[in-house]
Amino acid sequence: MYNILVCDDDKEIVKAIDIYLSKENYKIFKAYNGNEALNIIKNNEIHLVILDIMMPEKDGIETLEEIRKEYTLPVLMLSAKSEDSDKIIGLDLGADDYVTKPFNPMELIARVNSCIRRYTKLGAIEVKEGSKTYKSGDLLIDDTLKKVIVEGKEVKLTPTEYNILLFLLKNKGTVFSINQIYENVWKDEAYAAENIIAVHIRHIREKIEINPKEPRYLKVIWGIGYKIEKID
Amino acid sequence: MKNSKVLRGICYVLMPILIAVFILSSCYMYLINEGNYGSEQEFFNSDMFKSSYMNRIRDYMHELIFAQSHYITVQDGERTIYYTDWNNMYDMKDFMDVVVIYGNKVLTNVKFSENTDTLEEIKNVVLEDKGNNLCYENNQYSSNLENFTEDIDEYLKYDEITYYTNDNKVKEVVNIYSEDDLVIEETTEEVELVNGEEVLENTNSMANTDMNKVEYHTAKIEDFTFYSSFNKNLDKSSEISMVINTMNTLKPYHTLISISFPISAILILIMTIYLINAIGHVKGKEEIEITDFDKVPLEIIIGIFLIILIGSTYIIFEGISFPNLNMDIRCILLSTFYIVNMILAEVTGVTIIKRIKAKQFLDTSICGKILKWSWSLCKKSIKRIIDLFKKFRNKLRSIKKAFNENTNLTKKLIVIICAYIIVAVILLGVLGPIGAIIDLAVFFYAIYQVILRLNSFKKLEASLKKIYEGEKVVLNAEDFTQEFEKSITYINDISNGFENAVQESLKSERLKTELITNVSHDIKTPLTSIINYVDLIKKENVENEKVKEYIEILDNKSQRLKKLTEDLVEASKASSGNVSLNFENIGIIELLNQLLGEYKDKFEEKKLEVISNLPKEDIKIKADSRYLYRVIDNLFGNISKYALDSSRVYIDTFIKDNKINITFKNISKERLNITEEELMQRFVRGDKSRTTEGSGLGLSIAKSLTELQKGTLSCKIDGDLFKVEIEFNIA
Repeated sequence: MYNILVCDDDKEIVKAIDIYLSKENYKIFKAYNGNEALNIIKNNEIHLVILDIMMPEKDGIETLEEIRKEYTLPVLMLSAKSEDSDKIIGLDLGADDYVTKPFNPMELIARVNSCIRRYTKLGAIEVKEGSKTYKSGDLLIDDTLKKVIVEGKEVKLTPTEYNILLFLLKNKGTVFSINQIYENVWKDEAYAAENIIAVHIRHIREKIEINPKEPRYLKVIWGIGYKIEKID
Repeated sequence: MKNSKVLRGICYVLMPILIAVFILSSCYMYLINEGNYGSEQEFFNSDMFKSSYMNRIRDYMHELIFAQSHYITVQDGERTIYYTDWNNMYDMKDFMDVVVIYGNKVLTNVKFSENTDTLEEIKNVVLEDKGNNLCYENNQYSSNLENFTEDIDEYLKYDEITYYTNDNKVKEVVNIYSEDDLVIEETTEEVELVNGEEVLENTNSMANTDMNKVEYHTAKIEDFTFYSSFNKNLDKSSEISMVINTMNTLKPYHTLISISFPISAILILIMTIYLINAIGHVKGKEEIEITDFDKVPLEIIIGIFLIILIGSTYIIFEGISFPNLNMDIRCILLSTFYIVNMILAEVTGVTIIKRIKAKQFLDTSICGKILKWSWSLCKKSIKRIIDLFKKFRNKLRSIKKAFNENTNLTKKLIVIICAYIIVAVILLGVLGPIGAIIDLAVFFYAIYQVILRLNSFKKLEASLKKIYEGEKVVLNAEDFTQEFEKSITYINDISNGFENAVQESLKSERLKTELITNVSHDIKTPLTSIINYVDLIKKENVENEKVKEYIEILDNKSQRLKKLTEDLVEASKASSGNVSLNFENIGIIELLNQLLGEYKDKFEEKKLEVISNLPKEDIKIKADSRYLYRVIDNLFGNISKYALDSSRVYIDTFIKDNKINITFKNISKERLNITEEELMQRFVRGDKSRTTEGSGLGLSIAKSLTELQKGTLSCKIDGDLFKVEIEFNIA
């Protein structure tokens, strides 16, 4: 049982999140402004804070700054502000994730789970010695078992998808164009590769990402290629 | 009555008769009243005869004295006698004679034409002559001439004729005809005359003061005495005797003729008026009747008439003057002549009246046509001249206006030029060559000044162009001549104003974007609740099918509202350029392939067959990868939303002028009843009902973003074919 603090000036939203997360066996603490949130954090053991930005009295950014002065607990920003600059500010100030309103409840739950996992069981997955494993953040491929594990859960991929993902993960952080991927995975001259690769990549993304439109691991660099983000 | 042909015919017949009566009676009345032709005696006493006679005598004398050529001269010692052939004056021979007395012989009607150019010859003629028409008796001349000579006296006084006396004296030299004819020397003792000779001529009583009467014109040469006199018995065939005879015949009918004169005059007048009114009118017709004859050019008719008239007149008068012609034949000739010409005159007159009445007078005559034509020509040319004049006047006005508007400048210029010319001339005059050099220097200086100003103009134009292109311009007054001081101020002000306006509009655009962003935040918060609670309801076990259906609608619409608010912010940012771009080399073909992969399932879902014609080699362009993605994403999104199911989608690329052009073609599901321009506007979709998914901002965002990345996007609608072209510079 993990404790999650939801802080938003809109009571209905707080209540909705309460409903969703309670079903996931989280204990929910509610706060309607920054000061309340800080009090609750001070008096309870909180494992995750979901924080709105635009709030009365003390807004989300100030609250986040206060939290970060004392705590390392994960903070998930939940805001109607969807500008890149807003996200950058939030993440730079120490937020662990940023979800924009209106949000997809399933995505929120997934992201909450992800944050909690990393906060509580970071590095908990045991990797057998001698096996060929490749890893970026919570994405892990065990090449001996031909398994893909994302955030502790195994994901089923087709052999082609597996090969593509493996190739990208082996060279994580490097961008490969469609043709390069084709040549390296198929070991063949790229011919009419075009969107075959693109389709596979999308399928992989849909399987391993919480929100395929905003991928965390398998990133699309439009007009250039694809890469696996290097996450330590 | 107007249309009566009979009446008109009577008029035509009566007219010549009445005119003849009128002419004859008026002549008769005239002659009677003048009294000259009542009898021979009266005729000779009449003024008409006297003046005629005296004129001829005078002519004769004058010519005898002064003219040479056709006058015969007779040399008489130191004197010369001039005379002419009487036959040359045949019109006088009816009643005038020259009487030649030689010795006791008196001759009249001497035919001097027969080479009688010496006195000897004249003498011979006289002697041989039997002395016809003699009127000399006992050294006395016919006394019936006395009255005549008295009249002549009167006449001569009146007419002022110079007479030359036989005593070599000139008396009362006044005018002869005109002063030009003769050099007049008043009261000179000796008179120099033609050929430097003194001419002893006809004696005149005026010359001799002791003689009161002019007897007749005499000339004494040696033994000869010349008299000019009359033939008292008129030749029976002469015109005058004819007239006198006629008058004598007519005298008994004096009263009748006196009456017929006014009556014929009145009748002619009435008939003329009637005919003028009636001619051309036909029963039952309003308009004037025109026959083919009336269309013959008037000149031809009048010409024929005149030829006949003149010709017959000539023939008649030649014929009449033929001396031995019988009186009756003459009468017949004259009447024929009269009748023929009268008929012709009537015919001509009638057609003229008809033409005038039918308003065809000018059209049926050559002269009229020419007149009309020249009149229209005249009018045209007058109009043209007036136009020219107007143009000229306008030109003058504009010049004047220019002068008035630039009074100071113009006046200044005129004064300067005048002053320059004067000074230049003076300098040239006073200093000579040095002056010329100074003049030239001043002239070149002036040209330099003009060039300076022209340069200022050029600079001014350049700066105006800069403003036109949207650049900020700050002009320095020192770079210009002083005339441009105001212009520079104005231009700087305009540039500033322009800059401010641009800033202002940018600011307002930014404020608008900010406003939209904030509003969208405010919308998003309640929207979050809506979406979440709809989702929660969905997860409850709802039994009611209707409720389920309603929830589904709520879910759809709330999702659309979410998309709409996101797009709204993006569109506002893109159109105001309020985005930060990160340009890098992007492979456009790679991007297209990536996105085709993304959309493959969606297209397949709608059974859209994508036929892409992309080059094998990637083509790099300078763009922001995220925004370029948004552009293509929007276009593909549109295709997946609006393309007709089971149709083909074409994606073609070609390179031209270092530009890559990508064309997307698809068949629209809905009828596209809007224009390309409308489609580009925000919130416009192919279907105006707005029931389908999407915000209507996609194309607008794509266009704005393309333009922000220095590309172009255009779309074309051709029936159901929807075509989007984007173009980027190749990096």
